[in-house]
Amino acid sequence: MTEVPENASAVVIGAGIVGNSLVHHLALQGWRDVVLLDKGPMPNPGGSTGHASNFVFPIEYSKMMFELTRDSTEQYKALGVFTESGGIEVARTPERMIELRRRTTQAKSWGIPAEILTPEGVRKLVPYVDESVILGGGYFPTVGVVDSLRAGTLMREQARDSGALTVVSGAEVLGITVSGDRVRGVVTTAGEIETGNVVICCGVWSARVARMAGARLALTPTVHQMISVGPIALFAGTTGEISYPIVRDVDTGMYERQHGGDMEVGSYMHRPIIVDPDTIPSNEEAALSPTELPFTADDFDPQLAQALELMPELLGDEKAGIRYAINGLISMTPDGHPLLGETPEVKGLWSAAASWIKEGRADVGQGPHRRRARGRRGAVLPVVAGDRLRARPRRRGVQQDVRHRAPGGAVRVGPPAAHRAAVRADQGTRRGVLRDRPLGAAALVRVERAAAR
Amino acid sequence: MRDACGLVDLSAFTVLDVTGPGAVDGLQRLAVAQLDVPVGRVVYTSFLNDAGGFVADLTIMRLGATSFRVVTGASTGGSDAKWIADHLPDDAQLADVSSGWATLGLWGPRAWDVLTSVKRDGDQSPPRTFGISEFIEVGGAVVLASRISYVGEFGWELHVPAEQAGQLWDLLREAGQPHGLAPVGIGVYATTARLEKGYRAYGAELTPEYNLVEAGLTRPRVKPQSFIGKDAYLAQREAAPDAVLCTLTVDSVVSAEGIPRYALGGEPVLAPDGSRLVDALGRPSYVTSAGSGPSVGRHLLMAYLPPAVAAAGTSLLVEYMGEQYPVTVAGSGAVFDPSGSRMR
Repeated sequence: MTEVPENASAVVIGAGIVGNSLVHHLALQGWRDVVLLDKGPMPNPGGSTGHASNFVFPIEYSKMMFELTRDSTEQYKALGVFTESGGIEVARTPERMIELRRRTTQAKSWGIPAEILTPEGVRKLVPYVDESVILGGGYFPTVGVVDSLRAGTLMREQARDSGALTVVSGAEVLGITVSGDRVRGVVTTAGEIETGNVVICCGVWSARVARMAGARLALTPTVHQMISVGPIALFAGTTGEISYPIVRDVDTGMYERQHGGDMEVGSYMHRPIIVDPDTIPSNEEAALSPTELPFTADDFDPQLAQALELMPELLGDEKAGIRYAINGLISMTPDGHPLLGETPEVKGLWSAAASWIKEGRADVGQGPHRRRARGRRGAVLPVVAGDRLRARPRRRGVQQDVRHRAPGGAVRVGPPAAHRAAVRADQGTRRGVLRDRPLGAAALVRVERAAAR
Repeated sequence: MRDACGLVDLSAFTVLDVTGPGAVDGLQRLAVAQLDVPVGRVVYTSFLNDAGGFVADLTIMRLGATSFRVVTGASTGGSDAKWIADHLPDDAQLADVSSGWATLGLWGPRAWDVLTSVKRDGDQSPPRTFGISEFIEVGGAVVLASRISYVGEFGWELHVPAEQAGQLWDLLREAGQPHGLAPVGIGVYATTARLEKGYRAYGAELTPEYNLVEAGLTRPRVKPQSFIGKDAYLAQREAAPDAVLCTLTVDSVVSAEGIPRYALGGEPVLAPDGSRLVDALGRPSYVTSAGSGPSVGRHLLMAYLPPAVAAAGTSLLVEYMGEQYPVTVAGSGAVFDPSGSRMR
């Protein structure tokens, strides 16, 4: 096994898309003697990056999230790993159609192309959708998918080939040494490294690793189920990873996207399944990978029925079967936003975790490094709602939020409110002191944003 | 609230105590406003980054020669605390005391009657001068009464030890009954009332992308002491802004189908011909905050506009749910009580 260097200017733990992107940007910024560690093998060490569906919808209600997404899309295009497929959010209910009108109009604020489609319009683009099940759709032509493993590999290898980076796979971090309130180094199965900067890019393992240094990250591993159905007759004639637009069935919390000859079907509507990070299997123990856990069909059956409703012939084809099915592990925070930046407990200890492919795995990588490269100047990212969780981990979530102060909410097609509530319960919630006071006849005015659930 | 008195629970606030010989210099270096003020003064200020963009917007009370209390929002408090802590000199400390203090807002024309009716006999009256904070005794509680107002009415932020918050709430509600006191929700504090007053919110109007000049938050003079962002700010003051933050009124909220529709924020603001408004730096105009303004009978919006269309009275459009609604620029100040006389 390769031994680790004795010293490093920065140790990045985790060679998923986030860690790879970070070392790439550090190298571009002129950093030298950076070390990237992962306990798993390259190119796929077994984290969420290895199985994630990796599609990017540019539409966001929050300007900051829109900009992150836009910047990362540009980065992925420059690397040649982005395939534009288009995406359609279909509506099964009148309320959803109204929300789609709001969403496509919101797209105009940021200059994102978007239009409302009739059911027939949807079918023209996605012929396997049963028109009678939907009322229409919101079409976003610039949606695409990212080959995240390839993106990560390219970024990592560019950094390594420039001489800035040493990569050590198969090295597990056993401890992070802290002196006073400052990081001093890491202890690994391949030796010890002295360093003043450690960045935790460990996905579902991030909270566990942070704990080694006495820091707390408000991140919980949760399950997102997905299956792959194939061979799909219609896709046999296509080339490449994806030729048809991605379909997001928002009302049922699902998505269906072509993946080569298969149809990948993902669901967020199962019961919240939270996984204790200490029970995540190692690469050796796992049948597939540590973040591809055994599928629980009972949890997925109602969703499969809904997918069949939307795409009856394609998914109902007897010649196609479920070729792959997992309870995939992803990182969730109480408000769905990523955890980026220096931990408040330990100087020199940074986190870049719980981010989705669209949130600039490229720019998430840029955020922490830019802050370090320029000291505290020119913060790239304005305050995000999740920032309070990074900066105040012991304070946990706050129930009485002044929500308007954080740009947008975590409005996306993804883990619904029930999942976030479960994560909040796992992380703990602070209750207001006057919570139990009855307010009498006076109305409590609360403006809530209509959310796409 | 504006007719009599409103009581609002603001206990989600983040409260940070910054103390030590280096506290005044430490905070001075972060704040745009002058912080070496007499004990008891409440300072409202922004923090900037090196480029002169906003990183925080909060109030700071001087409790003593070497003691300051920072009050900021719930969602930004964590990063504000870290920003301050990272910049403090060795002879200053920061303590997060948010769980130890609750805050009640008491505002309205009858607020004085309500509060003075419950103060201890013979005790000092609560501060009447705007911008002053003092400890007073109310019922069994020692309360830090701070004469400021995000809702633009006469009254106080009352900071009370958390375990006494319930008592104080009950006491004020009872004492307020004959005066018409009503509990009001955070929507009044954070949306309707502050929008009527044109007050800016961090994360909505105040972001690192915009500066004090564009946000209309400049003061006549810049303090002589150095602070983060000062050079950039001075340069911004010399130049013409590329965008102007305005309040707009929605002239008609009725959709084509006859349904009233109220923009919630994020909507694009468009020129009368429906084209997008984008400033010279490429920043699009969009609704940064939206809410109803019952005191002025209009739905209110805030947005940064290119200077050419920022004059009061300009007609523009906002697009919401696929339809365009007529809006009028009200100006950069408050649509309600622009002189601020109700507050003082």
